[in-house]
Amino acid sequence: MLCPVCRHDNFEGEDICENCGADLRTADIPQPATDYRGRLLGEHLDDLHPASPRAVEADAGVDVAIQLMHETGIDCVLVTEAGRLVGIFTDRDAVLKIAGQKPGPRPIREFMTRDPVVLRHDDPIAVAIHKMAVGGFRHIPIVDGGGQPTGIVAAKDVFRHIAETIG
Amino acid sequence: MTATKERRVPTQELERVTIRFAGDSGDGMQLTGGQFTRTAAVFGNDISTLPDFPAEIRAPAGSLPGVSGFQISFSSADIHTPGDEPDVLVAMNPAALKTNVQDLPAGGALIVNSDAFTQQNLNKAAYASNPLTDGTLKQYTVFEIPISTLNERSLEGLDMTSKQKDLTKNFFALGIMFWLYERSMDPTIRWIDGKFKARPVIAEANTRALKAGYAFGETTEIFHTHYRVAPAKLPPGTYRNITGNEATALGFLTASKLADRPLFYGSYPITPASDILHQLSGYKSFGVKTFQAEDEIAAIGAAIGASYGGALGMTASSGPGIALKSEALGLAVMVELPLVVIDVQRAGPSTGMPTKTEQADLLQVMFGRNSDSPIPVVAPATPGECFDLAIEAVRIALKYVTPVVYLSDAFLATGAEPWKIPALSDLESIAVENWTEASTFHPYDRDPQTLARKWAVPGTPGLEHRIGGLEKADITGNVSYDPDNHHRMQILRREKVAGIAADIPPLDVFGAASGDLLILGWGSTYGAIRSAVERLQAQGRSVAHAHLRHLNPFPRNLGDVLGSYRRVLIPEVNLGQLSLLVRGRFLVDAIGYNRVRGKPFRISEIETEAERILDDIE
Amino acid sequence: MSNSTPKQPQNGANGDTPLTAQNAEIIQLSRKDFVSDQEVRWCPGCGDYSILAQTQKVMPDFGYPKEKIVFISGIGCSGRLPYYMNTYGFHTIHGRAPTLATGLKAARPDLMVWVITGDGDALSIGGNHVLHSMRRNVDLKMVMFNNRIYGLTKGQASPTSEFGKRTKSTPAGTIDTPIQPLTVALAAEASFVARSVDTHTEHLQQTLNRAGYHKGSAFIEVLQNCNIFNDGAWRDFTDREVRDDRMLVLEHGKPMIFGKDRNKGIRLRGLCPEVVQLGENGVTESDLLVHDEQADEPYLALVLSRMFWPEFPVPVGVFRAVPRPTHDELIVQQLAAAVASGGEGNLETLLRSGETWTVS
Repeated sequence: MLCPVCRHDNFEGEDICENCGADLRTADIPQPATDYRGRLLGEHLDDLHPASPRAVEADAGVDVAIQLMHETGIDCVLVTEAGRLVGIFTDRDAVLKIAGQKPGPRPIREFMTRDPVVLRHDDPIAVAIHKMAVGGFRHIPIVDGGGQPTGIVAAKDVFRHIAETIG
Repeated sequence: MTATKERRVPTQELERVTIRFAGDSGDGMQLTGGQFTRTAAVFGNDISTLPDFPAEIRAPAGSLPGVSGFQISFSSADIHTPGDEPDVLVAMNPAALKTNVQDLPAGGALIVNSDAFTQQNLNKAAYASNPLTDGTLKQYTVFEIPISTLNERSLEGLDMTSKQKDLTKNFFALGIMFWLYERSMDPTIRWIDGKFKARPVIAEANTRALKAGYAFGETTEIFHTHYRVAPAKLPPGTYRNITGNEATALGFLTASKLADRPLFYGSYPITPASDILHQLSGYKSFGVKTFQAEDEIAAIGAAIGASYGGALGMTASSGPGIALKSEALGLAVMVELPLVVIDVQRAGPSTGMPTKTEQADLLQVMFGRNSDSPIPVVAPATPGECFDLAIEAVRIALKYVTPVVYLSDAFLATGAEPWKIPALSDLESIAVENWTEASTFHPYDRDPQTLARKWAVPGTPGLEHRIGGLEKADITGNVSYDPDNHHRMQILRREKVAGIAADIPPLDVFGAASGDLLILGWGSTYGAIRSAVERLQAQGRSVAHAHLRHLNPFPRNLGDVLGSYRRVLIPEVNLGQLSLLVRGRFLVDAIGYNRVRGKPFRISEIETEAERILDDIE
Repeated sequence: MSNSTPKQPQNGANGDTPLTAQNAEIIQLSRKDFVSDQEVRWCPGCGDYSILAQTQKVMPDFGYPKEKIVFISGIGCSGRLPYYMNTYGFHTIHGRAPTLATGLKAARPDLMVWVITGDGDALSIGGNHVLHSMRRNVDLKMVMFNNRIYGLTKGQASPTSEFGKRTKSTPAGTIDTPIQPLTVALAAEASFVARSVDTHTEHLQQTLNRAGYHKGSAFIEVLQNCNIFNDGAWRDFTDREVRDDRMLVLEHGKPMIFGKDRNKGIRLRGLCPEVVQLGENGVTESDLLVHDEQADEPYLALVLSRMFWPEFPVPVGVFRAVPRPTHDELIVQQLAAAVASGGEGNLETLLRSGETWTVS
């Protein structure tokens, strides 16, 4: 079995990694069926392996953004100004705010949701779920200390994590 | 790195410190202990260690049977034991605290990872209330440190999951200890760089955690002193840390090279001897043939068969396995072939306590066979001596063409000490030649000096002969039921073993050649006895220490040595086996000190018993 | 304890090189060379005399020099055999001969090792070791003298005694089902399994010869008569007058035909063997089972091992002979592989491996 620390291939059942001495005894037992809530509290957004976000500048045309989303198959883009996150634009925004209107070269700034709820990369998954439930949204951008977006977590990421955990 | 506060903390010089690290699976206490040991050794302290493995192969996280510990004693003087009790206990979780705190003396230092004292963990450790707050730890000096949190914080920004970061907290703890005892982090940092070359993020994390722990020690206000233990004056040479089982395996490999005979090792897995099989099976490039047999008897059978063919046949086991091998051992005595049988003793009887030490197989290996069936017995006293006595066992086996028993125990097997690596050029050859001359050959014709028989191996032309378990005529080796012949052969076999006494060094005495009390020991009680005697001699008491490495035959001056003291004390981790032999053979009223708790003796208990006897004489 | 003659390589200097036709010196030996100076002490009329004689006759066949042949025995009347062979010999303890043979062969692949055992020695106390030496394919030739009784200890039941057998230790009859040695050997993955009869001298010689040439474990059950404690145990079908009709001589590649007039055969009906008359009911040779020693899976051999008189003729000859690497060969291979990948071990380097420090 591979040592979780140094990846050395040890014999099955070894207590200590032959190479680096790391304790292997937690790595090979089935984890007790702990409280799922407890797990969510213990796990961080990093554990969802959130995707890198697509970002457009606030001045960019909304039609450009929609085209981008359509071509790349994503349902949400982040909106930045000078690198800092200022808004989020999802397919729902497109349906609710744009459909029926004449699309034109209007900046995405006019259609985005301003100042979205954000999280840090090491915030617990439970917090993300809570915010999504309370706020009714499916995406939460992840930012660093300087407000720069570093990732985006979507409801479907959480769903996949649940499926993997339970399955 | 954050700026450190300028703090002047006084340094106290100590002669000896004993630290016990205790934690859960995942806490990495063996690694922490090992790194501290290495650093102390490289710095020049004399060290002695004792790992304490968990009772179960796997246990749920945080539970009592999952606790593992590592005790290290380091000193500026020559030390012989891993310490009667720790000065500092580092407990990484409540279960570790619960299982170890009773060994910490009042006033001892207790360092705990306060982050781990959650309600869930307290429940798992069967604590009704939190010991950190309910006052039950007030006789210790407690340092509550949120090691997990501080560690995680120190690793901010690194691309690792929380779980991965948590695995590095043992380095944080190590860093604290390094600061506390003024140890350099350099050897560990070099080790980290070497081991994790392929995973730079892990290397970075471990190093950061280590330094953060050190920095914590430096800046926190909870420690008011730190300590220095100066290097010891060890004899010059190249050293490595070695456990008894490692030394045993290396010793027998070396012995086979010195004897110029290929090593054949047959054995069956049994705690605590299995590691010898694991290690020897890694020596294929040395021509070592290892064989995991279907049972204990097949193991010794194969070893005898290999010896019959001229190889160096060996087998190892622990008490219950030695019991199974007794018939075959008797065959080896009767046919007179060289063979080494290792017994890594453990607590018995029967299955006993497989991971706990004892030295209660002496009478079994001396007498546990039908009829009078004498076998030479040797017993190393320290992990390092496991190497030397291995060579001695093979020397005797080949020179006298006889099976030999090598008595080790669980304490020696897993305990470690620094070992001065010998130069091979300093080691003498122990090779013997097989008989090849047909005209003068009879299989049970003997060398007049050693009484060893003329040993010829299959494949030697013209010397075809048969050997077996039936009694055989002197010289010719043909099956014989002649009454006088049997008596003569029994005497010859006895004399052959007894005659080895002329070939082994006289017993050495540590102390005056005569006096009030002699403490006589064998096997792994060496450390505790020697330390106790050193302390008593420093107080001016008339006590000396002698330690047997050869249990059969005894050194030729043992009788004289025993007679030079008014009292003889024989401490043993058994109910009085060497005592029985000494009393029976020398008619000496030896006093036994016998405790069979599955643990090595503490220095203090030997000291107390010796004082009791000395005071009683006056 | 020294000597003046040139030294033979002791113990293993070329001990790892198996003796083959190429490197064996051409030795012309005869049966007489293998007769030792010891007076043979079996009971008069014992089947062991014949087995000993055939064994001695067969030894020259292999071209091995005498000093390279070793006989290892356990305890029983069969255990005396090594004393009567003028080779190297080791009379060991009850049931454990295969273990010594395993160690000897591992240390000295150059030797030819015969294990002489009996039904009690091999199948009672020694059962476990037979199982494992066969599955390891240790290159030993195990000759098991099956007389269905414990002779040396004067007449107790053995694991092959028939159910209900009355003996000194079982006056009311045995209550244990007997075990079938060849089924056990096949179940233990033995690569060579055969049966012969003590007094069928030609056949026994041929069988011993085949075993000697087989590379790997060879298990031979020799039906032996103990005329003192269990006379006539096999006589019903081994006797000269009836054996042609009641025993089936196996030959690889040939259909299974028996009978004095060669008019009976064995064919398979479903999973079971069936005795048929050639010529009756349209049965011809092509309907018969053809013996195959070399089949990968021992189905056929297992079926043959379950054919008992009087329902069936008792098969004799080689049931199975398949090639497989031997235990000692594989050990040597691993040692060679270790050297090939990492070079020969250097002891100085090994002692100094791991973390060392120097005190000056």
